[in-house]
Amino acid sequence: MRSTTCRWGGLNRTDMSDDSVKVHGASQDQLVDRLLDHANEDGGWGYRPGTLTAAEPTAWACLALQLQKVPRNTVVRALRQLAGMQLSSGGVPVTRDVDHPCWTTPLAILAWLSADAESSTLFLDHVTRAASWLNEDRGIPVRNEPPLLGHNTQLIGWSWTTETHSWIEPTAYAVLALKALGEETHDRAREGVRLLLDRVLPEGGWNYGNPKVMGQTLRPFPATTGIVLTAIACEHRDASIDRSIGYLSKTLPTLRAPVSVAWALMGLSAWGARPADAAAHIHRALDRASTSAPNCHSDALLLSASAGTFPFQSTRIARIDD
Amino acid sequence: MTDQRDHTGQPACPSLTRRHFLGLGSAAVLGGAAAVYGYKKRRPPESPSQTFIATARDYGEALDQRILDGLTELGIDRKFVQNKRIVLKPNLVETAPGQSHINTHPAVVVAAAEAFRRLDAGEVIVAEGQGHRRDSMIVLDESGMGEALLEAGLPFVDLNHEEFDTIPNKGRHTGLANFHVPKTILEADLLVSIPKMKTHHWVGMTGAMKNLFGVMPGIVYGWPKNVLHHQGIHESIVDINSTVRSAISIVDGIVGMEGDGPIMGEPKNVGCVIVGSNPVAVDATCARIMALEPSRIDYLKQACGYIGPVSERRIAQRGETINSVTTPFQMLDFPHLQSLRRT
Repeated sequence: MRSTTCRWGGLNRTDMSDDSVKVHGASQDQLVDRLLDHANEDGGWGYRPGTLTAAEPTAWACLALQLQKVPRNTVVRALRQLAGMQLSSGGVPVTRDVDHPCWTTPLAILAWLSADAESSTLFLDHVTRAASWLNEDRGIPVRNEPPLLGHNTQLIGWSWTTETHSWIEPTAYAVLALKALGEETHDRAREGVRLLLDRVLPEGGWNYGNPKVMGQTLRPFPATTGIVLTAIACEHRDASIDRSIGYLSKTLPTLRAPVSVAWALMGLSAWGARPADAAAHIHRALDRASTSAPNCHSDALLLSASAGTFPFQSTRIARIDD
Repeated sequence: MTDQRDHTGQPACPSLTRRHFLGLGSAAVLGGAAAVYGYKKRRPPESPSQTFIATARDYGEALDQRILDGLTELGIDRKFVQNKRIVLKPNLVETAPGQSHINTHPAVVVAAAEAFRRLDAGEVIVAEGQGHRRDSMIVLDESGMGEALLEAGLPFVDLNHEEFDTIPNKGRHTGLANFHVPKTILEADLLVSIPKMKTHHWVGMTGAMKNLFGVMPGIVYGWPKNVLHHQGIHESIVDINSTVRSAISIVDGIVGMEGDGPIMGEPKNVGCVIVGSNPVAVDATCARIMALEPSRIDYLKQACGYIGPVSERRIAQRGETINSVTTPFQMLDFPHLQSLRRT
């Protein structure tokens, strides 16, 4: 087992103006308060306050709150919720009420790995079983004859649900989890990275999964571009990655939607390209969020992005065979 | 299948004898290869379905009145709507600068809401689970829908991340035993499908029926609703519409999309709004307006008689005539699409 040498670009508070630090702190306090207020009685989070605990918002809330000064028990209870959702297969389904799909499993791994040293041993078995599920799960390759699609349809990544083709977002989460497990050179992690790079759009960025359909080049999305840039951090930087960073840097000032802003900032941070006015972007996204129904998932992502570092970076990288 | 004929001697429903997707290979699995047909015995509806066409040259016209006229023609009155919970389901997919023809125009959604409010609806909600972009807020922002809904006081529900219940698949044209359906949809008194009139590079066209893909939550079905694509887009359309019935369809045919729809095509001025109570009849009418032959579109063939009629003689046309608004849509140069054009 290898220990990872990959580190994500961090936020240096000494580079921020006093005003930025103030705005940044206020935003973080607001997000922490909201997340704590919106936790379910069982300790987890639904996508919206008061809805059924779901794996994704719960995992992201854990990742985000680990970096904040919150009572340790708050996070441990949520991590236990994720553990309680785990199936005998090792997979962690999207909500407590269903047994599939389990594309959320790598997010649970990231959350468990983010636990402090004292808590991490509680979840080691869960991490091991989830890692085993991740290794077994695979997207299905499809033929591409005649070539209607613009990507290599034979690469095995991860899919949203079983028996379907692999897609960008679940593959990126799986690669992130494997890297966090110290398995960045594992065959599946390398193929996952190849898949992500294979599907980059010619002008940079990623959409949900295809660079082309019927010969037509598709459009990039900020959120998926941010997710992939985060997942492939520390890979060889080439022109396609430069173009993707360029796309995201250019698009970020136009964004107000919290999920897109959060992923754009995390993706840029992963490559040392976090803008100096990141705090202002987060503040603007918070303003936008205030005009719609509260959303625990986007609050957790925004809080993670405000930290300027990918959450599990600050903790030891767990090894499943320790 | 049963060869049912209408009173003119024409087959009421087209014959299902071959697959239009033959030759596409499994690449089409990503966007809609069909599974083996599980065809069912069916009877045509007892009475003709009604479809109403109104002209509307642009989005600045009094669309609420056009829609209200359509509802009135269909017999949908205050007594039917009063105090009901109405869920409007537009077609939001993704956004791009200058590409407003990808999504249902906000003016049509707001006008539909106003029409139902004028009929004393108890509550009107807009709900969507867009198929490509997970972040619904960016789609709302960039499409102008968010601002329009805010101004009109219309709440939006993101169906991709909603709580859902599991209910049996009533169609069984796919291999799916159940569907996971958001509670917002299950608790609606009236579900109103508000699609955009567009071509679709896998199935030919997208309208009232395909629009219901968007009620399936992305956290279960993925983006772009991969499970449904793998099960066959045509079959999934029929199964979803068998299980989740839209009571009314209102099609934004003011500016549609031709060519490489449903996202990369060109705007097409048609200048009409179509209102109907049967989604099969509405889509068959839209196909005719687009100069496509509806009896060659697989999902309409499968739904014909079982969910609603395709034959023109079984659809009572109100308002404008089809011929008066027919505007041939360009189709991509692939055999499975070119074969749908009316000759």
